[in-house]
Amino acid sequence: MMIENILLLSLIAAIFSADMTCFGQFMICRPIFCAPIFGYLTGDVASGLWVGMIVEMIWFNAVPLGASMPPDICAISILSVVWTNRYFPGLSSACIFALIAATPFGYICREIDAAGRRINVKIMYWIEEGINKTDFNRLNTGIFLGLFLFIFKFFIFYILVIPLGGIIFSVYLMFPPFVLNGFTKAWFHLPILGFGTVAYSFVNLKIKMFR
Amino acid sequence: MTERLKMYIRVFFIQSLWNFERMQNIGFLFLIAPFLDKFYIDKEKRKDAYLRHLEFFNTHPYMASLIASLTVKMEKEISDGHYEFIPAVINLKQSTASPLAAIGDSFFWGILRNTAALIAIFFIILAEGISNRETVVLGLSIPIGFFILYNFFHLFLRYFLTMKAFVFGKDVLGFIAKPQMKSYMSAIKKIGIVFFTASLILYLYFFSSAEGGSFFQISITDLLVFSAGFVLSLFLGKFASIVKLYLIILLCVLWAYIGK
Repeated sequence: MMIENILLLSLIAAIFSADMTCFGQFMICRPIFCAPIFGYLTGDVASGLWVGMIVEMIWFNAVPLGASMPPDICAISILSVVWTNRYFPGLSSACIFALIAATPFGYICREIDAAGRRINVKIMYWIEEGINKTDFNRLNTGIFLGLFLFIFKFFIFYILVIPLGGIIFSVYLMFPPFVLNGFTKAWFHLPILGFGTVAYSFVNLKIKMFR
Repeated sequence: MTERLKMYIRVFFIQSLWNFERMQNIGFLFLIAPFLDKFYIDKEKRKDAYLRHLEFFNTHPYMASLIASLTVKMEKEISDGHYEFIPAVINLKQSTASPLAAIGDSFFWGILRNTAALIAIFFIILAEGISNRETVVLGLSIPIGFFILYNFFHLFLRYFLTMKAFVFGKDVLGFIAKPQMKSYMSAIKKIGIVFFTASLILYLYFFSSAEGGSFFQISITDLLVFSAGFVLSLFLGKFASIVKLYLIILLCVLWAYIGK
């Protein structure tokens, strides 16, 4: 299966991103799930699996606990996979470069999410005002407005950012061979970093140095 | 559709209007609104009930329905004229939200999700090692397996706790606090550790012995590189993930430059 349509990809990506903080929390936003699914949608499941595994392990404990907001690892994995499969499918060095380029967008997404939560304060007051006037329907409207705004802003984000892959990969083509070779090495070494991160955070295997 | 089922579906929207001021307050009200509409026919009384639940509220999203069930039981008493329960219902929400959030965070997101992810990672390495890269069905079965495994437990436990809270009230909290729960959590975590160890061994096995196209070529070097990378990532444990990611890629590029 191969979806070329950016609008459709952006809509699916926005729905996946909503799972992280806004709706459901079925974990479809986790890289281990969304990266291979987008790999499938864009024509290369294997790259999606590998990128999903790397991002999942490196950001193993990235979950929104309380008011804390981790970077949007769903966006990082989706952008890496979509960019690679659109321009250099199956090329591991291109995949690592896409991961490098996509990571800052995960932090931008976090800021977009924070801005949305500030807008939610205004919607909350609008609902409260409605309840004071015994207009109880504002509750349902407000909830669905919050969900719609979340998906809409991420939909716009993906529409704007997915085409940037072309510009980003024009930089990739300028790299000397040793850099590309380094990226290929990273393809096999980032899982090791992931194993270390999992050992540190899940297995509680810690070395007393930076503590 | 019964109110209980409506509440179970509505719980997926608990964070749709999460805000920095009162967090999940609107989401929580949305959960219990079908019950409040049923209990309070008089609009003024319903308004008071709605406003009661617009105060600050935040807990683990999976645990919200349990607190909602307990709240609904108390709201029923209040609607029957037991107004002395009004402070109690507010206290109940405040006193249960944080402990249940801690349990939800550690069990669902700290143990269950991580274990499901580690099982999926094991199968990704296995699939990458034994199969052709073109195997789409095998590739897709891994994320779908992760989704089913995680959500089977998650949705079942969420439903079970919500419905039990309607029947047993606050006693359901005793069920969560049982020592057996701790042993179940520990057992699930151990499964995760087993899969993690197996993934490590499998990764080293597949990517050190494969010929041609494999990065690792000599086993002693493989082991050294692997161990160095692993220990380095443990040293970097507390650093931000983005720092670790860029540092390892930079080291790989430097290594490629030295070896060219």
